[in-house]
Amino acid sequence: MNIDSLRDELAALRESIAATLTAECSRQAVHDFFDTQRGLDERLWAVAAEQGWLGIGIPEAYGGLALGAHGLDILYRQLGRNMAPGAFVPTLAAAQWLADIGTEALKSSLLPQLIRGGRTFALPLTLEHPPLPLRNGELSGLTSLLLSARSPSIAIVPAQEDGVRVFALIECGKPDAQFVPADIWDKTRCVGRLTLSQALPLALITERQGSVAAALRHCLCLAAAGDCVGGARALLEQTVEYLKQRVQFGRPLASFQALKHRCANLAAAVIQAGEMLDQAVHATSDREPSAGMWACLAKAAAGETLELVAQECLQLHGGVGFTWEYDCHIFLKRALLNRDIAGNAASLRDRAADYFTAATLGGQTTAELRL
Amino acid sequence: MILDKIHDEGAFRAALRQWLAEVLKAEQAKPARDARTYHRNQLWWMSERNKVGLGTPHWPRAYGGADLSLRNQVIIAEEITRARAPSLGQFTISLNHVPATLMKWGTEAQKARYLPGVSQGVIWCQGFSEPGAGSDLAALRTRAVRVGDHYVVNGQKIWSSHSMYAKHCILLTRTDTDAPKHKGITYFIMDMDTPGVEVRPLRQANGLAKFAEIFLTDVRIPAANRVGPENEGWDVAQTTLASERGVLSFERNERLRYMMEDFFADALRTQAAWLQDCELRREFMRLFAEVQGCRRLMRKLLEQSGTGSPAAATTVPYVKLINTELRRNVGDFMIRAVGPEAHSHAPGFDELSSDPTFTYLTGLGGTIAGGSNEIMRNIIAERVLDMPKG
Repeated sequence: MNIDSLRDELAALRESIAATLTAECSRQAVHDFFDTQRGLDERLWAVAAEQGWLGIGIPEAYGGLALGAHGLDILYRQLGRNMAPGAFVPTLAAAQWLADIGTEALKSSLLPQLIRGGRTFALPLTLEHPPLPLRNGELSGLTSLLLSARSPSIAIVPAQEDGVRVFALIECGKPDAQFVPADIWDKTRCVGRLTLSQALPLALITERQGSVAAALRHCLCLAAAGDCVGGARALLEQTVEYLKQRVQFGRPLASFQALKHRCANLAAAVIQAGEMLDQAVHATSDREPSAGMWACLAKAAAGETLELVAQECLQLHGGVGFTWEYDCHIFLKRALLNRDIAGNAASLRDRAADYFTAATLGGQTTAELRL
Repeated sequence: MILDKIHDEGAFRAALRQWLAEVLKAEQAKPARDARTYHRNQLWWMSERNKVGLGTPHWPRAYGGADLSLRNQVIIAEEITRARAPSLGQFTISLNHVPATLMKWGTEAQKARYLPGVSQGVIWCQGFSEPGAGSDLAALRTRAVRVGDHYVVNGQKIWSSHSMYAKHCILLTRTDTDAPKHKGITYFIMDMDTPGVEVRPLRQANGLAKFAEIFLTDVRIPAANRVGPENEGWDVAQTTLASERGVLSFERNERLRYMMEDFFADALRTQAAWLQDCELRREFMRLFAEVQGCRRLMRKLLEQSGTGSPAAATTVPYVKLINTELRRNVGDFMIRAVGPEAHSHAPGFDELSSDPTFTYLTGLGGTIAGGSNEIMRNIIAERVLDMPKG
C-alpha cells in the first residue's frame, strides 16, 4: 500500500471511529457505567467487533485489517478521548503481542476469535513482578495485579521453570483459574488477580533473552500512551470550552491571562506527548530497532502528561471540577491507572537509558528522521 | 558540483558530506573564542558556501539562488548540522528576513540593488524593537518625517543583533502619529553608514555582545528606500517576521539533537559520574524524547508551510515555545550532570559551543527573543484555542 492511500485509509478510520464513539460512548453513558459497571463495556465490545476495530493491527491472514501500529494508535487515542470502558488496552496489546511473537498455531487459533469479539485478555499491569513458579507444568498461587476484562477469557502470566522464564497462557473462568477483580478507583477499567490451583496452561511462550517481555511491554506502552494522549487532548478541549462559558467578575474566565497561559502550557505538553507517541508509532511501523525504546519514552511522557492535564483541568474547572458529575475525576482516575500500565515513568526511562547506552556504544543512531 | 545532484538524494547527501568533511578541517570551522574571530569565521563560512553554490540556494534563480525545494533545503540543513558545521548566524536577517520582505514588497530597483550583496557577505540587521516597544512592537515611536525626497528619522532601536557589523538595516518608523498604532508605521531600508546612526553594543547575560542599541539622530533616508507604501509598514513587517520560523529554526532543533547525543557519548567515553545517577539518566532520556518530539513537530511545520496549509500558523507558536524551553532545559540539565566542573568557565561563543552554562544562558535568551514565550502563550490561547482577548 502506498503512503497516500494508507494516509487516506487512516483518516477515514479515524473519522469512523470518532463518529461511532460519539454515538455509542457518550459522556453520559460513561458516567452511568461508572456508577453501575453494567452494560456499556459489553455493548462497546460488540460494536468494536462488528466494526472490525479488534483486528485493526492484526495481519489479514488472521482476519485483521492489517493497519499496523498507525491504525491501532488511532483507535487507542479515540478510546482515550471518550473514556471508553472495557478491556481494549489489555486485549489489543495481547493480540498485537501474539501477532508479533506467537507461534502459528496460537495465532490461528486465538486471533480470529479475538477479532470477532470472542476473546478478552488479562495481562500483568507492570511486568515488574517476580514470575510464578511452574511445577510439573502447572501453576498455583496468586498472580500480581492484572489489567483485564471483567471476566477475561485468557490471562498471560509470567512464570518460571528451572530458571527458564516463560509466559503462560491460562484459560480463565474454570475452577483452577479464577479471576478476582479488585475494587479500584477507575471504574472504567478492570484490574484484579488470578487465583491459580494447579492450572494447566493453554500454552507456554518461552522467553528469548528478554525480547518476549520487551515485546509485550512495547505493545502495552503504545496502547497506554495512545489512551493518555487522546484523553489529555479531549479533556483540555473541554476545559477550554468551559472557561469560555463560565463568567466571573463580569467576564469569561477564558479571558484571564493567567488561565490562558496555563491552557497554552497544557496544549504544548499535549502536542509534545503526541509527537513523542508519533515517533514511537512510526518507529514501530518501520520496524526500527529503537522502536521499543521510543515506546517506553512515549508512554512515560504520555502518562505524565495526562496526569498533569487531568489535575490542572480539575483545578481550572473550580468547584464543579471536583464533583462526581463532571468528567475531570474520571480522566484523573484513568490517568492514575494509566501511569502504572507497562511500568511507571521512572522504570520505563531506565529501560530506555539501557537501550540508548547500548546503541551509543555500538555506534548506532536512534534518532534519524525522514522529512 | 553539489547542487547538480539534487535529483538523487543519496548522491546529494554524499556530495554534501564529502565537501563538509573537507571544508571543516579549516581552523575557521572551530568554535570561536571571541567576537572578532567569530565575525571573521562567519565571513569565511559564507564565502566557502558560496564557492559551492550554497550561499543562498533557497533563493529564486533571478536573485542568484538555486530555487531549491524545501526538501533539499532541509537535506542541506541536516547535513550541515550532522557535520557540526557552523550556522550562518550573522546572516540571519540577510538570508531570511530581507529576501522574504523584498521579494514581496520591494521595488525592482531595491531587489537588484540589495539582494545580490547578501551572498557576497553583506550583513543586515533589524531595527524593530525599541525601549518602549518590545512585546508591544506596534507602540514604536521612532519618528520619520518626510522632507522632499528624503525622510528624516529620529529615535532609538534596541536588541538589534549583529548591527555593529551590519551594512544595512530594515527599519520600522512612525510616520503618522494620529493614526491607530498599527496604521501609522512605515518600513525602510537604512544604510548603517548614514550620518546620525550610532550603534552601542549591549552586554548580554551569556557574556556576548551580539545585540546593540541603535541611536538615530536626524538620519536622512532617501524615499526610494521605503519598502511598501507609507503607513503600511506593519503589514510589511508581518512578512519579515513570518520568515523567522522556517529552515532557520529547523537547524536549531537539529543541533540540539547532536548536542545531546554528543553529550551522552562523551559521558560514556569518560565514564562520567552522572551516568550512575538514575534520576539524571531518566531526565536525560525524557529530554532526549522531547527533542525528538520537537524535531517531528518542526518537520510537520515545514510540511505545512510547504503546502501552504493554514495549520502552519497554529504550529509556529508551539514550535517556538517548545524548542526554546527545551534548549534552556537541556542546558540546565547539562550543568547539573557535569556537576561542580560546570562552573569553571569555558567561554562559549556560538552554536558550536557545548559549554553547559553558556548553553543554559543562551537558551534563556531564546525564551525571550523573537517574540517572548509569554507572547507565544497569548497567541496559542487566542489564535489556536480561540480564547477571548482580556
